[in-house]
Amino acid sequence: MFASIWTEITGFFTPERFRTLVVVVVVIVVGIMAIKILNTITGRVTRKHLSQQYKMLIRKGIRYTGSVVLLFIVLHLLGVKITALLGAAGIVGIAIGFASQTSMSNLISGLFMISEKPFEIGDVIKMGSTVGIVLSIDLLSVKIKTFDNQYIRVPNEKLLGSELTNITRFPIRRMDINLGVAYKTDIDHLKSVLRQIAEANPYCLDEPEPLIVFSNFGDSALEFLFGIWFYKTDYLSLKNSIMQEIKERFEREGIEIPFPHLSLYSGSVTDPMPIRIVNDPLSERKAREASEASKKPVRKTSASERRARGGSTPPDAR
Amino acid sequence: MKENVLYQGDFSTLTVWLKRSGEDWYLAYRKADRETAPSALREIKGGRIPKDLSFSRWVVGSEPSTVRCIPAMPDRSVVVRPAVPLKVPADRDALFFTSIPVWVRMRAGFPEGITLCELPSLTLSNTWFGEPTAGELCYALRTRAVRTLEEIEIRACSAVCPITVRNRAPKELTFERLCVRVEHLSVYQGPDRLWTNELEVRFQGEEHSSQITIGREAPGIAEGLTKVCDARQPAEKTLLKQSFSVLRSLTGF
Repeated sequence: MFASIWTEITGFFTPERFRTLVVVVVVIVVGIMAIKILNTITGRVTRKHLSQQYKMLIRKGIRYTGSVVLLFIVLHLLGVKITALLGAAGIVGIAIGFASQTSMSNLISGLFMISEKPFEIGDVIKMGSTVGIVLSIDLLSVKIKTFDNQYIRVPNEKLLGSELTNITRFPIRRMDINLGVAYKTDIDHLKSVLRQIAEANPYCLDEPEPLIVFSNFGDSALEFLFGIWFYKTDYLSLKNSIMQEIKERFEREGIEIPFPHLSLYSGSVTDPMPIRIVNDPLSERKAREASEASKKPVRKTSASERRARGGSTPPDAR
Repeated sequence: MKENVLYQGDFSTLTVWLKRSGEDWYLAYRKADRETAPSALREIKGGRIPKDLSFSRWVVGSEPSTVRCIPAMPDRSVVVRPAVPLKVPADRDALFFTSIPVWVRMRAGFPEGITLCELPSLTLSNTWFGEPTAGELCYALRTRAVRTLEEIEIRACSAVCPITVRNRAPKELTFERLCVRVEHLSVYQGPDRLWTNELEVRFQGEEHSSQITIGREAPGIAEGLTKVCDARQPAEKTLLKQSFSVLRSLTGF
């Protein structure tokens, strides 16, 4: 049994075939080394001149083209007819093309995106609800790492067709803080305090100047927009420090940040809602006197007069 | 420095604590809101050490037992902004002085030594010089831009920089901001204060870059100066940089 297998093996590996096999192995090893050397040289030459994504594209181009060329050389050495193979590959290619329309769409979108360059590796981008750092830009997809360390793969087709924000494209950014202060607040004093807070914070850029906009008369507060500029890497440091500083400084200056509140009116629009304080000796005495007085005959009031006085509750008890 | 003894030094708003223990050096610092009177490193008693100090540790070796606190220029350019904008008519020169807060470079060993750290004696606010899409991150410094030596306030942790502005443009120069490339300036110790090299800025119009000339030697206006710290980046004699910037409101962005 083993003798017959051995005879078949030794019969197959004729000296000529053995020589071909050795040549093929040498070609593969040299070919792989050549591709790697070429990649290294190209990487060094383009290190200072090209962006990371272009460098990656060139690297992959060299690797894939080199691998295909190497494959054809090996097949040729093994005696496979390349022409017939290419003919068959054409037919197979059409079939694969129909079956892989999405991939082709992603590929073409990837090429468009690489030429348009909306972001680079290392940029922080926002797409929909996803925010993260771009890890790689490939021909089919873009890989993103979110800040809570999740890996997200976004197909290029989707990326090209949707709105995308490159958060770190420019070196400086503005942080907008919406503030609500009580209606009694002195607006000039508030603006002065906000400017001082911005000046004292080292992460807040002195120029461009902070933006203070009186944006709205809110339901419960006067609403202001406080926009401060910062260097893109200082986001967290500024956010943490400035919020604390605003809170502390407002407390020191007596500037109230009101809670949302709702005023209810009964009867007249501008009169306050009548209330009775319970367990208050003075109020109780007045209520008792009013009750006793009501037993005496008095002039009847109209419904509209009662409403104007705040309903049925005696005005003194407000 | 004695071994296992804590030392404290005050430099404007910065307070530094330092200790040597065997081959290791321990350093902690704290920044205050207000400036304090400066003092060299001094031995302190254990009871006066703040409890929540956070020490950093350096493995330096047993050889150096000395530490030097060297005044150095900040690590980024400083944008000087006069309290009142200065106007220089065409073909006129103006000399003014500005005090730049120094950084404290802690160096263990002598004469070369090892730099333990560099800390600002006064933390300056960041500012942006240039366009919002492409510019330079600098420190902001408001100055009185005094015109005579007598007016300069003596501060132990600030270096006086004499700046001469030469307006060679056909129209008046309104000087609102000047970017001082402090990385090219050395620090000199004078009898009563610190100095930097002289700076000459030749303004040739808003559309042209300004020509900055940095003095090679100690400023001639003061006497008896000794260089205590080299410039971070040695510069050519002149630099062509966009030094002036008209203050613009960017609130529309």
